[in-house]
Formats: sequence, C-alpha cells, structure tokens
Amino acid sequence: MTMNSTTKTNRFSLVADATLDSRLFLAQALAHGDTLDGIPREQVDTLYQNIAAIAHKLITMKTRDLSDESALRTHIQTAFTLTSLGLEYGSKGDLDKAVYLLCKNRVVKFFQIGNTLTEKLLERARHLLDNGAILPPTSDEERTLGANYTDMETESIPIYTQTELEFLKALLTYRTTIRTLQVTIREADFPRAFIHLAEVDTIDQQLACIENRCHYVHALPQENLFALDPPLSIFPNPIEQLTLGLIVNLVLYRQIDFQLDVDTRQDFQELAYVDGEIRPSLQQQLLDWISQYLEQTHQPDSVKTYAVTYWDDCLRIEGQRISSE
Amino acid sequence: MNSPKTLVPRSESKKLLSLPTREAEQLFQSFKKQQQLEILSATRNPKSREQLYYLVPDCTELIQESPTEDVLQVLDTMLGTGLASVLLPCLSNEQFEELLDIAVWHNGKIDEESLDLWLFELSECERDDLRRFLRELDLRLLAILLHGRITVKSQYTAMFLENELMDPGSPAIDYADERARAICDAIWEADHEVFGMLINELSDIDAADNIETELAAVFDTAKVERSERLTARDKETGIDITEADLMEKVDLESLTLDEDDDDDELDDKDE
Repeated sequence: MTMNSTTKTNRFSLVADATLDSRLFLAQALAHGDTLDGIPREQVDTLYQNIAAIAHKLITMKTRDLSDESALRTHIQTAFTLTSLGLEYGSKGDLDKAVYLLCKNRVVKFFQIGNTLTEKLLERARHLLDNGAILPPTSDEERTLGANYTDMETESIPIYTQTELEFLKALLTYRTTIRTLQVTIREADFPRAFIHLAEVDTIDQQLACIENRCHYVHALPQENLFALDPPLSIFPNPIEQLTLGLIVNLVLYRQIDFQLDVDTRQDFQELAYVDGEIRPSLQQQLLDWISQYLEQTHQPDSVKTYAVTYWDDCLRIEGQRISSE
Repeated sequence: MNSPKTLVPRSESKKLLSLPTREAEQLFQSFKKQQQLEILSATRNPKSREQLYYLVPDCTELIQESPTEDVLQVLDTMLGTGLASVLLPCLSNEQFEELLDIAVWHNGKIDEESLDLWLFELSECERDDLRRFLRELDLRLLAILLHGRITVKSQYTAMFLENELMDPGSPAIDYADERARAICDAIWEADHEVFGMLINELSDIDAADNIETELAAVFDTAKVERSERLTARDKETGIDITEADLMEKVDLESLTLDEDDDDDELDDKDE
C-alpha cells in the first residue's frame, strides 16, 4: 500500500511514492482493521495521512540533502518501522488490540514508543563503537610495567569482530545483519530494516553479548597484551585469539599468559582434543576456571555466564579447525 | 489544450523528458498550470523536475506554487556549486523563509555547514534578488553565526557606519576566511543598510560581557521562533505532528495508551 493511495494533496510529496512494507505489524494491523471493518473508513485516511506526516517530518528534520534519495528512503523506512514496532509493543502483538489502539491514540505515540525502544539500542551500539577496544598503555603506564616503548604494539585491540562492527554500524541506521543470537557474530546478512519486535529482542541480546565480552576482557590481566608477538590486533578475531592463548597456557603451563605460537597450539590440540572434540573433563575444568576467575574479580552473573559460553564456543571452533585440517 | 480528464501525470512526465527540448517545451506549455503542477509533483526525481521547470520561459509561478520541500530538493542537487542561485530568485519570500527553516536546521539545531553553503548560494544571486532575501533573514542570528569569522575591531563602528566610512574593505574588519569576505561583499553590494545592521550586530556581540550567554539566548530565541513558524505552517496544511513530538521519549515501564471505549474526547487523540 502506498502513502498516496488515499491522499488527494501533495503535502507529503517527499513520501508520495513510499510503500508500507506488508510484513510490518502496522501494515498487518491496518489490513486486519480493514477486514474486520474495525476502523471507520474516514479514519483510515487520517491514519495514512498521519503515518505519512511522521515520515515527512522525520525527513525534513534529519536529512541534510533532500536530493539524496537513499537518505529519504532510509528515513521513510525508519518512520514506518518505529511506528510499527511501537504499535506491536503497545498491543503486545495482538492484532485486534492493535486496531483498537490505532483508533484510540495518536499514531505518533507509537512512533515515540518505537523510537524509545530502539534509541536505547542505538546508544549502546554507539557506546560499543566508541569504547569496544582495549587501548594501548600510555607511556607512563609502560614505564610502570617496565616495558620498552618500542616493544609495545600501539594499535588498540578491538573487542568486536569486523562482522560485529558491521552489525553495530547497521544498527545506527535502524538495520540489522543478524537473524539469530550468536555468541560471536559469525553469520551475517546484508543490512536490512527491522521488521518485528522479536528482532529488537534479538538485537538487545546480541548487544549484551558484545558488552559482556568487553567486561570479560577488561577483567583479565592486561599487562602483557600489547607485547605479544604477533600482536593481537592483526588477527581477524583478536579476542578469540587472546582466549585461546589463555586456555593453552593454562592447560600446558598452568599459568595466566596469552602468548600463543604454532608449536604450543599443536601440543594443546594433541593433548586436549580427540577426533576434533574437546575432552569433556578438561572442558569442564576450563569452564569452571573462567567462571571462578570472574567470580573473584567480582563480575556479575551475566558476564560469567557469557564468558563460560564464549570459552565453550572458542573450544568448539578450535575443534572444528582441527577437524578441517 | 489537453483535457484534464486524460492527463496521467507520471506518463506525461516520462514523455516530456524523452522529447527533444523544443517539442517538450511546446507540449508542457500546452498544459494548464494545474496540470503542469501535477506533472511536476509526479516527477519524483529532482533532476528531472528541474528539467521540467525549464520548459517554460519563466518558472517563477510554478516554483512558487510547488511545495517548498520539492523546490528545496531541486536546489539541493546544485548546492555548493553556485548554480542554485539561478532558481533561488524564483522563490517567494515565504518559501525562502520556509526553505531556511528546513535546510539549515537539523535535529532541532542550526547546521552551520548548511547555512554556509546557502549563504554562498545567496552571494551568487543577482544583487536585487539578494536584497529581497536579506530582508527575510534574522540578522542577529546571522551575526551570531558569522561571529568568529568576521571581527569588527573598531570601537567607533556606529559612527563610521553613520558617515558611510565603513565598507567590507575597511581595515576595521577582519575575515577568518575568503567565504566570509565574499558574503560580506555580496551583502554590501546588495544593501548598504543591511550591511550596516549586520556590522552593528557583530560589533554588539564582540562588546557583550558574556558572549556565550548571548549566543545561547539568540539561538534559543531563533529556535522558538522557527518552531512557531513550523507549527503555523503545519496548522494551515492540517499537520498536527511536531518535531518535538518525534523527539519525545516515553516511559516504557509505565506506558499509558488510551483504551477506554467511552472516552471519545481524549487530549491525545488524532481528530
């Protein structure tokens, strides 16, 4: 359904060609209302006008260059999506109730709900983009550590992977790249607009995973992280590399260290894996160790739970690597 | 003359854009003004719409009867090149004011980068046209935005201006960049009086005890005035959604939605 299907003026010319995606809960509620005769005819037109007005206002408020058709499309999509999410949230996904709420409330109220819901996610994504890294020590800190300045890697170590960076950036334009929750995002799609509230929940949990990983990493001793050879920053997934380094050193040398080279890794693989599967007793010992370590560093349960899952995932991926080799 | 009943604006637009210029001009000019506006409105690509405007000898009337957002869309394709100055004079004063209210404000704040581009385009206009637009500008606000780029050093500014001893080349005026100088030159050439008013405003700002407070007060006033203008325009066209509505956050923990069947006159209902 297009925004000008029932309008006779061109007051929302910028939105004239826009189409309400039929997968949106809002579109489904309008269709449901139409089927049941739940929304009076004269009110349907007003609803469409108000939805178009929201998109129109959002465009004029946020778009720097009105000739940028891609930006216009994004803002129109955002307006429809946020209104739809707000309606889905307010009606708890009940189409009958949604029709009723649409008749009784200003449409912009649902936009506000959707905007409030997603703004929190966007703020968290922005925070992670700005702070989701381990920063190299300052010169003063290096002196305290007794390290030589030239020995230290000066690039920060990102806590999220490139795929997760794309996920975080997509969120800033109200888009997502994931379909299911993943310990580390390994499978991602081309960015697409959110459609349903369930996706917002998944995004919420996915952000929590990356946030918990940040807490987990910051709880580890970081004195030598920037003196590792090769530096962690060159790896596509530095935190997985760091975690494996810690696991290998714990298993082989019973010490907390992150240095990981080919030979020690091979020794670890031979000792810990049988046919690509980690030995269950060793797996349990390692998961208990990280849980207790985080307990001692006073991390909340959410971080402990995530870290245990993350370690388990790292061990599983290492097993897959062995099998594929 | 074409019959209004047979007009399919989008098809006509495509046809016009595919014809050689002379034939397109003849065909477009054969339509009534309302039909021309319908064709323009159906042409959503701003570059194509610009081509259609040029199919009449003087597009002032068509521009002035088009939605300002549509005209702004066309102008945005030329912004920063100096070419927007060709169509800018076609705008009515009201449209120009509305255009600035959209183009130089983003997320409820003034966008200095956009304003600078628009001032550049204005400075490229014919001086008569520029004079008309300058009278629509909030000079206090303009002075605030140019403050830091144009510095008036003399304490005798008012006297110099009164005796016509000050122009953009006066040693009493310092420019931080060439664009600021060009803007000042254009204002001087267009309207000596407005130039004097701007210099006086700049001089007052420099003399203010607390510049930051002064800047904040002027911005706040400009914001309120713009909001009032937007509300008035929206009211005329039946829009009851404001920018403040879109920015408003709700308390998701204690969400209240109207569900009462009997309550038909609730404050926040649509109609």
